[in-house]
Amino acid sequence: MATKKISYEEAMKELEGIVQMLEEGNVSLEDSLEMYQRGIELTKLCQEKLAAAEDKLAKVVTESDEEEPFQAEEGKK
Amino acid sequence: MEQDKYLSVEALTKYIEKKFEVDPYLKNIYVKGEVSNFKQPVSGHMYFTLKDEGAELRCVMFQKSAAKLGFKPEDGMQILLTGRVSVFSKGGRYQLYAEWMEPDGIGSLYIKLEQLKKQLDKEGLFAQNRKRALPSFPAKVGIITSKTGAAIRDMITTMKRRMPSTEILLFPTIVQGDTAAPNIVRNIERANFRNDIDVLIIGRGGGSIEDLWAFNEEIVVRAVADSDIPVISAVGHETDTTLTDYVADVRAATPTAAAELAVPDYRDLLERIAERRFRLIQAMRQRVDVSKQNVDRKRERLIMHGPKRQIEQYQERTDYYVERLERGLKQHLMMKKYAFERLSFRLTHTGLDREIDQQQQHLATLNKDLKQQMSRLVTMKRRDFLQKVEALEHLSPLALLKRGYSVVYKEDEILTSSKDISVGDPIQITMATGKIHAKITKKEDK
Repeated sequence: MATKKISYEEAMKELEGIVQMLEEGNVSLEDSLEMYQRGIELTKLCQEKLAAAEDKLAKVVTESDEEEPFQAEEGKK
Repeated sequence: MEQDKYLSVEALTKYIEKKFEVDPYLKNIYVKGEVSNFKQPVSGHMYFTLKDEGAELRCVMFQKSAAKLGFKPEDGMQILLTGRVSVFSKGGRYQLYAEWMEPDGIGSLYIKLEQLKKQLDKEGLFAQNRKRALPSFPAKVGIITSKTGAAIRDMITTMKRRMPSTEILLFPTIVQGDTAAPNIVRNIERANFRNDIDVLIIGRGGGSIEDLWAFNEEIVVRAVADSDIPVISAVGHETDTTLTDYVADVRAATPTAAAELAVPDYRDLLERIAERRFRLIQAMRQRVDVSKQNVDRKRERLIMHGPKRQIEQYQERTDYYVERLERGLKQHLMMKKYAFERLSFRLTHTGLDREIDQQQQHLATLNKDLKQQMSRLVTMKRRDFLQKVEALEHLSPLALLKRGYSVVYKEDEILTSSKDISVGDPIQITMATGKIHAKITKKEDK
């Protein structure tokens, strides 16, 4: 199965669906095997997405719509 | 009596109370001052002192009125108050019975706020079905709050800890004062315009009711309602509620709580993935097991209907009949043996012995009968004999003698006729009790 660009949420949703269908057990053995492989693939995908995500710094959107790193400022609210 | 001049404390107090009551001013008082010694026990009544530089006044507000207030008085708060002044006899003091109060300066705002809330509610802006679900895995979180202060720092710290890869975009916003509301609205619109933000947090840290007021402004509430991006509100502390909280898709108690709602904790996600993976493997295993069982069942059925099974069945049947035959024979033999034993038993036990027994018994019975018959016979004979004796007795001459008759003998012959005797002959007369000797002195023959 080709894995196109799929978001974490989509992957998780698909995984949920597969797990549920398999648990219901009304799928033929061939289909189950295929679904199982897809499911395992999806778990890997989700884990990778979490692991590969790089830390991002918080940014401030300036009045001129530019983004610059957020610097915590001391001071009263 | 001299004593009649003196009033009781109660009577005097009653008099003073009357004085208070007839004064129309005291029935409907408007007074302002600072709250101190505020207490509200479980009864729900409020007790406090209203004071200014020159005086103090004890105040009570009963639970029924207190429940209607949209705020809770605090020590040091300046309030406006309406009520009546009356005497509290038991405490020996006059006090103010408050019917309504509001914070000084923003009381009119409260009224406006209530009216706006009703209006927006009627329009359906706060309806549950308008609320959208938050994304479970947002890539970008927009924050509309002050660039300074604890709120933004808390939110960034919390989100970084939970999901370091989340992009956080802060729109520095004025969150109090007259310019706050339009500034908040503008930044909501800017965030929406960008089209890359998944969820929006709008809020600020704690503060006085005036500090939070921008979040009650109609333009802010409408901007939140119009936002395409789901909105989490986090205005002040848990006890503060603004109209923005009502209209937001999700209301968070604090900025930190908002950050927790906005992004998941990656550790939870990993756990969830692991759990799904486990369930996937389990389900597959089960699926394979079911298929295996299916195959096994089919194989069994195949074997069952194959030639080997047929032979086995014949063998089985043969074995069964042989066994039944053996069992039958055995049983038959047993029965015969049993019958024989019973017969021989009867022979030994019910043969001669019993015959003799019976005969002996019979004999004994006969014997008994004989004895009985004999004794009966004897008895009968005896009775018979006695009867005869009695009859004899009746016929006996002795019996006659007893009845007064006598027997006359002449020379040992019984004299039966007067012709056989002559005058002068001796005779013996036998009577029942003895004999007498006599001589015939006269004779008259018939």
